[in-house]
Amino acid sequence: MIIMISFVLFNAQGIGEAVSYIGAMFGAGDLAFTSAETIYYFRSYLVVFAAAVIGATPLPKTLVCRLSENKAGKWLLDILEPVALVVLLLVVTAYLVDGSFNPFLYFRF
Amino acid sequence: MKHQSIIVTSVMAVVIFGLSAAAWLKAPDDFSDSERRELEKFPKLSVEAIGDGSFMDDFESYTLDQFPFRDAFRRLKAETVFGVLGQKDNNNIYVADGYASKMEYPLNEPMLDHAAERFEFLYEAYLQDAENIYFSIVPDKNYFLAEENGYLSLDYEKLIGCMKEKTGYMTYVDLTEHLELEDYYYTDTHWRQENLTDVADVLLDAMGAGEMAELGADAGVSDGDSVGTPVDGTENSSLQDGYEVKELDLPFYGVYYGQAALPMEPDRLKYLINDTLENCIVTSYDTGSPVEIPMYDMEKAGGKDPYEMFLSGTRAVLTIENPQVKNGKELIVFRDSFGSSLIPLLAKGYETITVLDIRYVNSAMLGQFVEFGDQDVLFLYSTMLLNNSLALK
Repeated sequence: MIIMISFVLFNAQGIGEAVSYIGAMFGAGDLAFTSAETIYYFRSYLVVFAAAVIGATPLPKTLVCRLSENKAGKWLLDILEPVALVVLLLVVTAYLVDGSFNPFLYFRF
Repeated sequence: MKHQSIIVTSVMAVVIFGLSAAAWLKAPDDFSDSERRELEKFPKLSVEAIGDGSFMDDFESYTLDQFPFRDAFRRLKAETVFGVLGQKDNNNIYVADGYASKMEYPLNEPMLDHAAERFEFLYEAYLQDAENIYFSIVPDKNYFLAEENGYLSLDYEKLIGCMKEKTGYMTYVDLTEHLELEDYYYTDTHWRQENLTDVADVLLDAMGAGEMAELGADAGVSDGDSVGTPVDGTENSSLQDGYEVKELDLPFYGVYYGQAALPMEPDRLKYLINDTLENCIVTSYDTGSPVEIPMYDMEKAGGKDPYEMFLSGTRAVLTIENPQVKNGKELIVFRDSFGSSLIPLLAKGYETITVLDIRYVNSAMLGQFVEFGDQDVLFLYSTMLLNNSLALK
């Protein structure tokens, strides 16, 4: 909850907008629980939500530990880890370049 | 483990420092062809610009615009969004049934109010003597594509209903039932001229000029000498409804092609000609004095936005005179870019058509360019413009 509110503060263009968003998050503004927009974005981000939920559990760590217990798994991890990190770096860079996220958010302060 | 750490660190260093070096060494690009826009230049450094925060805003835009391998990174992002994360749109652009489109949502009622207020101003200021005023809304392709494919969609019924209610002094002509998805380009916002002959006839009939068009001069299929100078490789393809359909031998990458940043087949751009259209005289008044221009501008057909070939794209004031029609009828069209490809097809019903685009000329100034009287008047605007109508002056 604290993280959600603090990110609204970071992202808002001014105090008024921040208050309006936070108010809406707590039921002010007479907004419906769901709308065409919420359903659309929930469906669109379903894979991201699933990845986030799974990533928040010990499951990925358990899988990696299991893999590294045998030689073949360890060898596989030695290859996959740097590849995954480089791919992630490139994808994150691609998101920054596309401008959908503001990389200089903190310069507002 | 140690080897792995060295490899990871080395690869990361190469990527990070390599991209940084490329960013510093790369000469800045002026224009993005894929996005059809000027790219940001390095901002001017001043105490004022730092103080009001504009320097960092501009610097941020500059770094994003001038990033090395920018188009490749945009493509990577789009592929990740659609292919890996299974998201439905990328920056509101989506592809469904082979058509790229941009979600238009939600309905913006203040924008409809603004458009209606501008129309009413024109009516009060210039159209008191006009007896026949018509209004037609061009649905954008989301009308046929969005809701059906699970995308956010405008409430088109409400939009059309609102606009009809606010413009009671006009006769509304419904075009929706005469259009379908295939009438639009795959990669562009606009509709295909070669599919609009029935739409033009519906409008001409509604305005009482359909019969005139049939009785008027025999259109005659063109001998192929073109309207304007033919672009290299322009080829004849077929005959249709009294027109010869010509196709540009150049790929047409519409506005959504660049925005989608995905590999898509380009469209083919076709246009209609006949003797009537060839003999029409098109005059632009944008420079203050009359300049004759081609009906279809073949230079623009080979340019960054080939759709601009129709009536030379963005023009505030122009006239089309048809010497083959002698019925005394004149038409004034208030339009946006969708009108560019349709209006030539209305020429067969009128001696003169005056085409006005109040995005590029202030409504209050129109009296200086046009003598308003008892001409027929058509307001022809797309749903996209009505829902984002601030451009109407």
